[in-house]
Amino acid sequence: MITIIPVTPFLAGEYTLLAFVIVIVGGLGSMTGALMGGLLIGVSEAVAGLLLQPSLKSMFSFGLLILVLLLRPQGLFGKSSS
Amino acid sequence: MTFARRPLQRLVGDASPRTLWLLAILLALLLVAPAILGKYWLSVLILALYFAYVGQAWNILMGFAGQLSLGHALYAGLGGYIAAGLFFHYGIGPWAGVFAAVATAVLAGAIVGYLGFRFSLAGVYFALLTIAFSEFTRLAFDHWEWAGGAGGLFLKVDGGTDIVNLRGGPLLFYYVILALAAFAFILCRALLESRLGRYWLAIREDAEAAQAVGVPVLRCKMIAIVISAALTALAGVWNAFYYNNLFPETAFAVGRSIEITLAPIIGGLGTLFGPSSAPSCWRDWARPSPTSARRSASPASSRSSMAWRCW
Repeated sequence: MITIIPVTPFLAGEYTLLAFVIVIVGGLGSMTGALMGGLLIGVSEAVAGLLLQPSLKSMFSFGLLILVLLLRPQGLFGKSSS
Repeated sequence: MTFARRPLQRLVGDASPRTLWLLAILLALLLVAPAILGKYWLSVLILALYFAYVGQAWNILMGFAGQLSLGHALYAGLGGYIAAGLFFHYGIGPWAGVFAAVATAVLAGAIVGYLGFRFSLAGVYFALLTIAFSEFTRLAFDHWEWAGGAGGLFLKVDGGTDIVNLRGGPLLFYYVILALAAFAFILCRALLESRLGRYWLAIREDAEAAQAVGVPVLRCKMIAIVISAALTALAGVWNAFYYNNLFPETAFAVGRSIEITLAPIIGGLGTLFGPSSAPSCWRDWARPSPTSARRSASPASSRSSMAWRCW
C-alpha cells in the first residue's frame, strides 16, 4: 500500500470504517458481497471525488451504507435471516 | 412507567440514610468548592463534572439498555453546533437554542436507533453503525458553510457575564454543569427505578427472552437512545459555549466518543456512581505546560491543557 499512498499510524480508523462499510453494503458473511461491495465503494468513492470534492468522497460511502441499511438491511448479496 | 403515589420515596428506594447524607454532603461540598479552590482546580473540577454528566448520559444506552454506542460525539457535536450556530448567526441565546439542539439530536438518535434496532443490529455492528453516522456528520459539517466548515465556528468572547446568553467566566459554567450532573444523576435513578428501567435491564441481559415475556424491545431501545441523545446534546451545548470554538474534526471525532465512554466503563457500567465518580480519578492531574503535545496515555490531557489555555 505504501507504494501508492502515504502511510501513517493514524490510518487505522479510516480503514476499519471503510472495511465495515464494504462488508455491510455487500452483505455480512458473503464473500461475493465483500468483493462486489469493495468494488462498488471503491469506484463510487473515486467517482464522487472526481465529480464533487475529493474530501467529500467518504461521505458518499457512508451515505451508501445508510441507503443500503434502509432499503436492503441484509446487504446487496446477503441472505435474509428472518 | 408512572410513578407510585410517593415519587420521592420511590426515588430514594432502598438507599440507606448514610448514603443520602453522604450524597448531601458531597453536593454541599461541590456547591461551595469554587470559593475554596483556585482557578486551575476549578477548571479540573469542571471537566470532571462534564465527563460525569456525559458518562451518565451514555450509561443510559449502554449500562441500562445494553446497546454499545461509540458515536455519542454525534449528539454532542450536533447539539453544540446547532445552539452555537443559532447564537452566532441569529443571536438566539442558548437557553432557547438548546431546544433546537436537543430536538436535532433526538431526531439523529431516533434515526440511528431505528435503523440499528429495527434489524436488531447488536453489539459491535451497532457500535460501528453509530461511528459511521458520526463520521458521516463530521464530513458533512466539514463542508457546511453555515456551520463554518472545516475552519470552525467561533463565538465572540467579550469577557462580560451575561447569563441570558450563557456568556461568562468558569464560575457560571461550573454551576451549570453541576446542575446538569445532579439532574442527570437523579434522572438516571428515577429511570432505573421505573418500569422502563426494569425493561432496559431485561433487554440488556437477554433481548430475546425479554421479547418473549412481552417487553416492547424496539420501543424501549428507542426511548433509551432518544433520552441518551438528548442529554448528550445538552452537554454539547454547554461544551460549545464553554470553549467558544467548534471544529468538525474535534466535535465529531471518534476520540471524543471514546472519551465519553471511558468514565462509565471505568466506574462501572449500569451503575449510578460509576460514571459520576470515575472522571475525578482518571483525570490527568499534572498541570499541563502550554507546549504539551502529549496525547498518549490519557485523551483528557490534551483537553485539560486546552482548558488551561482558556484562562
